[in-house]
Amino acid sequence: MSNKAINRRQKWSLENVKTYRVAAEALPSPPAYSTSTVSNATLAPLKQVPMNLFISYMAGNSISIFPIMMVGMLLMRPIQAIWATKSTFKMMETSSAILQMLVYVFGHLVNMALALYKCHSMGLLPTHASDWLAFVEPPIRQEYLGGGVALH
Amino acid sequence: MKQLLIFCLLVWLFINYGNCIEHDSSVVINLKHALSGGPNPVFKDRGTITIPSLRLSQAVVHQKRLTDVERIQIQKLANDNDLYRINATVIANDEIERSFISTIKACMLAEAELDDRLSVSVDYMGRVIGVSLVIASKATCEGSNVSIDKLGEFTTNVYVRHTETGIIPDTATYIDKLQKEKEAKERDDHKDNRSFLAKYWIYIVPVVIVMVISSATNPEAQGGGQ
Amino acid sequence: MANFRSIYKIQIFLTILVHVTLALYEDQVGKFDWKLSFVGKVKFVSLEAKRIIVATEENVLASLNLKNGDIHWRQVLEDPKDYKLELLHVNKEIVTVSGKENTWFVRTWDLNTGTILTEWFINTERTVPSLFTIVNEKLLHIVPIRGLQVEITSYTLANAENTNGSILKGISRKIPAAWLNKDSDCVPAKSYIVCAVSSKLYYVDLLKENSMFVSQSLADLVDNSAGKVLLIEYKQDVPSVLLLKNNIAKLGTFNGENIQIKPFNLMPNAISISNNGKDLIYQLEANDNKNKLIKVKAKDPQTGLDSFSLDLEYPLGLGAPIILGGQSKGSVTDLLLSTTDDALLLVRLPEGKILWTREEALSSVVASEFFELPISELDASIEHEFDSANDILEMFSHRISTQIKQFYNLVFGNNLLQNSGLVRDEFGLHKIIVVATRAGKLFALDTLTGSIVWSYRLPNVQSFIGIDNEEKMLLLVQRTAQYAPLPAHCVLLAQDTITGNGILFEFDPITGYSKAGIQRLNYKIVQATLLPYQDKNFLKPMLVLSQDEQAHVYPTQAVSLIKDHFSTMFLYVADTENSRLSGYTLKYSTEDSLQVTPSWNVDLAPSKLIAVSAKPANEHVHSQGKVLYDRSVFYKYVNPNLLAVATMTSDPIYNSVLSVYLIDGVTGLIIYGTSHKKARGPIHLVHSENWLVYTFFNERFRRNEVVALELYEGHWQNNNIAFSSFALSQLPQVQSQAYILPSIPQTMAVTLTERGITNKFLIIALTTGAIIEIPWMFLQPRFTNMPCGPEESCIPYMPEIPLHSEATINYNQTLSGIHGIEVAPARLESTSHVLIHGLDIFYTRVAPSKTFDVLKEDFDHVLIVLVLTGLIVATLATKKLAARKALKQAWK
Repeated sequence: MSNKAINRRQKWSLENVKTYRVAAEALPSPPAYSTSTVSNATLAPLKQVPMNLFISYMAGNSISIFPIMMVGMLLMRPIQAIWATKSTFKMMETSSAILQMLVYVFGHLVNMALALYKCHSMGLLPTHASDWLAFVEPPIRQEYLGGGVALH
Repeated sequence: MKQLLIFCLLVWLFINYGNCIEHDSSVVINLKHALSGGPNPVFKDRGTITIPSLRLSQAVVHQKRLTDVERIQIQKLANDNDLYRINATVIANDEIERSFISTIKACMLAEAELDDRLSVSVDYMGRVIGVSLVIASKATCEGSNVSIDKLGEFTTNVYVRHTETGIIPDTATYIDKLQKEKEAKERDDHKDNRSFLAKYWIYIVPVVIVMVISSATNPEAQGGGQ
Repeated sequence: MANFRSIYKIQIFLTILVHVTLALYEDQVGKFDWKLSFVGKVKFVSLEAKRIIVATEENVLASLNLKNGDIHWRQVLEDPKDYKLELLHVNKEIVTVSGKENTWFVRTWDLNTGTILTEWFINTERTVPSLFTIVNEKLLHIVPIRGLQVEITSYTLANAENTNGSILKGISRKIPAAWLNKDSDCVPAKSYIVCAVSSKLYYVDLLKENSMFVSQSLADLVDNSAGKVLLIEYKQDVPSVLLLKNNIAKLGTFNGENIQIKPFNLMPNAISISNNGKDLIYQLEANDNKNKLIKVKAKDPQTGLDSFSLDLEYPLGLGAPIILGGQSKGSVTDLLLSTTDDALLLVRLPEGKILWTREEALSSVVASEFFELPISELDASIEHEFDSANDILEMFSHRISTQIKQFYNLVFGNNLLQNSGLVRDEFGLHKIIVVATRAGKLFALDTLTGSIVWSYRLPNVQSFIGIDNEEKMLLLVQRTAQYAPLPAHCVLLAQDTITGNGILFEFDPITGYSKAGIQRLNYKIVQATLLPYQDKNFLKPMLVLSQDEQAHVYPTQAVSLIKDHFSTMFLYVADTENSRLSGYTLKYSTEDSLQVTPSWNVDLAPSKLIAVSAKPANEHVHSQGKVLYDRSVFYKYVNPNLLAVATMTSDPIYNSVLSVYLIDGVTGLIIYGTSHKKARGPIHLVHSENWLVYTFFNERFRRNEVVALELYEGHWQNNNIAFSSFALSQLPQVQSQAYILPSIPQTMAVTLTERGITNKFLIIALTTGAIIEIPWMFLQPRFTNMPCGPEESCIPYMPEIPLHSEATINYNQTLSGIHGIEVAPARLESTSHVLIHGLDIFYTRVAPSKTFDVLKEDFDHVLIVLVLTGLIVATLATKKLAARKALKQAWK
């Protein structure tokens, strides 16, 4: 739209006209409308979820190096990405950037939830009583007993 | 919660009524209690328990309601964190009298509102070896203040606990298990005489397919690339 | 659901796995275990040229080396309670007679190797005490029958015709002796029999045909003073006897029908030693000289004059000696002395030197306790840095001085040995074992070497008799050695031999020093216990219960410490005579008067109490529950006040019935009871954590069985903050399982560790002399409806416990006469100290989960350091080279 206006202006001014290349940002985009790069970046984590699901399924539920590495990666990548959210969205518009950031963070949280679910199915999460057994303190003894067989 | 506890205790004690004793007999227990605390207790009559058959473990309890004086005494015992003692004289069929003493904390009795349990233990012959008073509770107390009207009368449940028969090593099931394993081993031995291909085709076929596909794509790529 | 084949395979794999890892390597022998062998209190002695043949009260025949007292060979005969050695005779072979009453075993042994050559059996109908003697190669069995006669049966040993199978046949002879009564005292004197009755002396020469007793009035022979005349055997070529009256002995020699009394006086322990045909009387006398307590005298037998007298430098710690035997060769005489505290020593004359001493009191240990050693002075000074916590400058200077001392020690070596090297080592494995013996002597043994650090003799002290006629003394530890500079404090409780009253002996277990000495109390001790409260000097008071139901506290000023805790202290006493258990409370005690009030009782009559066991006081339970296969927790019922009581009832139908009860010691409630019909002893109980294991002999199937009971609370804990015996909301569930033990157990114990994390092993001593360890996992009752496999760390149930030879912790050191096993936790969580005592003392360390908290012994420190430094150097070098190469590339 804005291009058309510029072209029309250019049509009517033929000589000694400087063609200004105006930056194509004039109007802010309407809410919930993201440009292609922005939408890619925002939805990227959500797109990775199915692939992560499949990789987790292939890695298996045993406690060995490969599944642990997978889980570690699944956990660390979202955390690092969330940490770097600010820098990723530096170039975005301010108005809907918050929403996009939220969606982005939500996508990474879904990834982390997936990693936690994998932990749970491997049996690593301390959800059962037996996991806290090592921290159970022995009860305090309230009565003391002494004695034995009568010595004679 | 308390009812649940009491129910659990009831269930457990009941289940443990267990195995038979050699000579069944009837038993009369004369219960006396000391409401006076201190190192030299004076025992006064509390009631009588008649157990017509130790094997069936049913008991008939006769206890008087407590007088006001006695209630005040129990309340004082509980306040002072003193001990409540009973003296049980057991008269068995053979006229031999045995007396047993048992002690509990008075504050626990008061907090349980005089709901106590008497555990009569018998040995394998049917002789009474111990009479013990128990209050079902999760924690002890150090003195308590209970109002007089709750200390009305004793609700005593009597549990006759038998000695269980000793366990013996379970050789029969073990020998059966070994027999079954031997048979299973003999049966299994014949299974593995199939040919190599018959055993491992599930692994060979996918590998062959993958090789065919990769060679199919590669010559095409090679061919296409040129 | 695993199939059977895999169960079988896994089972075999697991048992092999568990046991292959238990054996010791050959080069580990002797590294952390030692064995001391003993023979017991010596009764009869015969000195040969280089060997001493001894026969002891423990029914042991042994040959000792004359020069150093080491055991050359040893033969352990039957149980000394039933059979006793009555005769030892050495000629070309050793002849022993042992037995009791009417059954006697006559055996001949080889002198050099101790192998048994022949064994015969004498069976008589007479059950009165009898005598044996050997005269002219004939064994004479002398049976005095009261009021009637003396029967003498003579057996010829060398002649094999006189045996009827293995029963010796002898020729009997009866000599009438109507004067025999219960006061008569008969001894053999070579071929004579001498008896002293009231005021007459009777003797008869057996070599003469049809000889009769000749009597002589004692007043003619010995002086007329009051006092009983005792006869003592006196071995000499000429038949002689010692007549003892009022501690003065006179020598009488027989000649035909006459007896000649020598005019000189002798000590009761005089013996005759012949040197090249010449006889001398040797005796010991007490000396006034404080440094040389004993005097050795040799007298001429004809005149009674002293031909030799010497003051011996007798060690102060030994009891009063008597001469057992001796030999003379040329100018050298060797005397073998035995003391009142069971020690054996050899004295060489004429130098008067004690060649060696054997402390045979250690063959009957009645109590033992392990003690940690104090830390070294240097380590203590490091810990004292924070004493002056406010002054930084002082702390700094203290630390610098300590570090300079450490550096000095490192460079120049540690030449200050305080306490003669008795300091704690790295892992706290160097400990002192204090043992109390039946002879009333205390010893301290070093766990690293087994040598005696100190010994203390307590005169007139005997042990208590506990359950089943077991002898025991009480050793209570009031303060350990970790509170330097306060010394460790230990108390021994025993009984006075004369009055039967209690004896209190307080001492420092590391040095053996006792400030107060023996304190004789004026009451009889029934029981004693340590209280769990410490005073400001870290001393735990001790509570002693006397026979008149009075309680006493030592040290007496500790009453003010415990006066607030009277209502939480309870005592129990098991009366074995009446088969009653009684409980007492201290609630109504005050600071001024301590009194125990009866609080419960259990009456088990007419059964007989055979074992009462409480849990070890220093036990720590680490995990509060068992993890099940579905990751839920099944909580354990850990009642520290639980008692396990075993009784035996004789029954007309079932012969004998064993009943085992679990009784709470504070309330007297019988929590569980079980009975095994047709079961026989001996019963051994082991009680620990939340389980109980007991063994018995099943008469019906004729096998030894082991039963394990385990108590659980359930899926929810009743009260996870405090445990009180009064607060019982539901009775614990009992899981039980029984197994067959292929050997006969002699005694049983369980390993203890400091924190209770390590697995537990049951240490069982078998009658074969082997000590085996069985993992508790084998015996733990399995849950019936739950899978049991390696994932649940569960070994499937096997009704017979496999006893592998690698599971023997004393590898090839067979132990004889095992009496008891003591276990103590070490500072290392994975290790326990084990001491096995009996006729032999054996010490070793057990690591039930293998030493998981220590680096293995051959850990290659050097290799790792080299590899690390090599890698670091390589990394740095490569980094430099790579940087240089990159730079070169960039400039191309």
